[in-house]
Amino acid sequence: MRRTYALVQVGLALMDDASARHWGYELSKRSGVRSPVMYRILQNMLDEGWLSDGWEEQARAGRAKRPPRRYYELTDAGKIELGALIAEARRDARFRTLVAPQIAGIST
Amino acid sequence: MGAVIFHVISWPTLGCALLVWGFAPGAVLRLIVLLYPRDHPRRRELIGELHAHPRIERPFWVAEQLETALFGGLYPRIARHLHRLTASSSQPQTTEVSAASLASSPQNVYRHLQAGFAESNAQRCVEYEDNRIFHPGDAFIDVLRWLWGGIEGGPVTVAAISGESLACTLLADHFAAVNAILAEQEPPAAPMTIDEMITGLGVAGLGRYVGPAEYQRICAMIREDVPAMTGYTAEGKLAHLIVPRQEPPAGTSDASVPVTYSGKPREDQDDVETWLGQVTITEPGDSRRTFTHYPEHPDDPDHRALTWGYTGSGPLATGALILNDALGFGTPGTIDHAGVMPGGVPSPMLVAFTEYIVAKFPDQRGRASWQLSRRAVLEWVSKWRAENDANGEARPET
Repeated sequence: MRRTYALVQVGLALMDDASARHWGYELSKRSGVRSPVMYRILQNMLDEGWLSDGWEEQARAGRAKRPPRRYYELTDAGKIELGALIAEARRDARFRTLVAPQIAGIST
Repeated sequence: MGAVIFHVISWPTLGCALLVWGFAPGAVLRLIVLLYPRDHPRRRELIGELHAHPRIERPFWVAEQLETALFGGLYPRIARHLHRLTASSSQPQTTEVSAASLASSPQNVYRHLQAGFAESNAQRCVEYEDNRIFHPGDAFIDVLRWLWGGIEGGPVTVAAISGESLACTLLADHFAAVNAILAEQEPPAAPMTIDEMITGLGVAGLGRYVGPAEYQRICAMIREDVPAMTGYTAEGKLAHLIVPRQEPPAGTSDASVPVTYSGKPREDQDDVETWLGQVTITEPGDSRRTFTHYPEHPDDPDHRALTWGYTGSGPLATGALILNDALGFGTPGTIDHAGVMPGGVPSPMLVAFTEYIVAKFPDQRGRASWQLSRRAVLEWVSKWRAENDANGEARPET
């Protein structure tokens, strides 16, 4: 997958909690990527096998009186690939502004 | 120019914009998602996501989705349509393959199959996996290759059911679909057998793809499972819902015993339109037996659900239940027990009983109840036998 600014942003948001279920709206907010771009990236990740997806339980959605939402989860392959992608991004000058705060956050 | 600008910024225009984007983003979103193919999961996903957004953000988010739908939905849809047009113009028309060529060349069977099979697969896979896997127009062998690739630990995991059972379901669908098509041809073509299907898979290259040992295992699985999952035998003939053609055992068919058959919709259903029925057989002493399927089959209960009010497999199942009981063959616990003869077709009597009696039962929800006495059934049987021979041919009037 071509490494883009948006891909790294979405990757960071996913890896922020690698074992959690990720929902479209929250993911868009956390990554700061517009939803059309984000959905394209998520679809590519699904095609690559980096993500698996599923639907919210009907009962839970029913209680909230809204349609069920789709969620995304990182697969083991996805965790490895995204981990590598973020590591490369840290070494890449183009993404310095994006990943620098993360590095600083880890070191403090 | 000034007039145009005036109209654009006029109060009615602003009012319309507020109405559409301020008050009805849900309606607009529902129109936007129509750009996606019918089976695309993003249709449901976007509608589900709308409610996650704060109301103030919804109009802007909905506007963004137009871009998502144009590039993610409309573009692939057009591309797929163009691909289909190209494919159909460059390939021979496959739905008009003659019976002779079907029988002589197994590969033709699979070519013949591709359109219908791929389409039904696409729908079924959408049902099972909620998304993305097959598309109408996919070649059969590509679907199968992909499928076995998935089973072998390829890129896609099958979440709802195992890949192997999904493969069997697809092959079973295919087997039943092809035989249904062949049976409708004029004159009816010889059915496709399981052996032919396996030969076709070999010709199509499955053995080279999965290796000889796995190929043997798959063939054995197909031979065993596919007929069990369909209403067809390994010879491609209808195997279920058969009224026995031998005479009933003496003394078991007694019109004087006051037995009644009554039907009503099952109570555990929410869907008003597509209800399923239950039939209760009440015998002297208020002994009751209630059936929701016939014949009961642990592996395949859904294909034998009881319905009425039209002609089809559901009414045929209801008719078989009533006739088998009235004629003294009992109500078999499984398809292998008394009352069913594997390898045959529905008897002419059952077909007539279904058409003239069961199809006439009321089928509107709330009024779909009926009752029938065994005596009435046996009177109908006597009359039918007097007027028809065992093959359903009308006897000449004397």
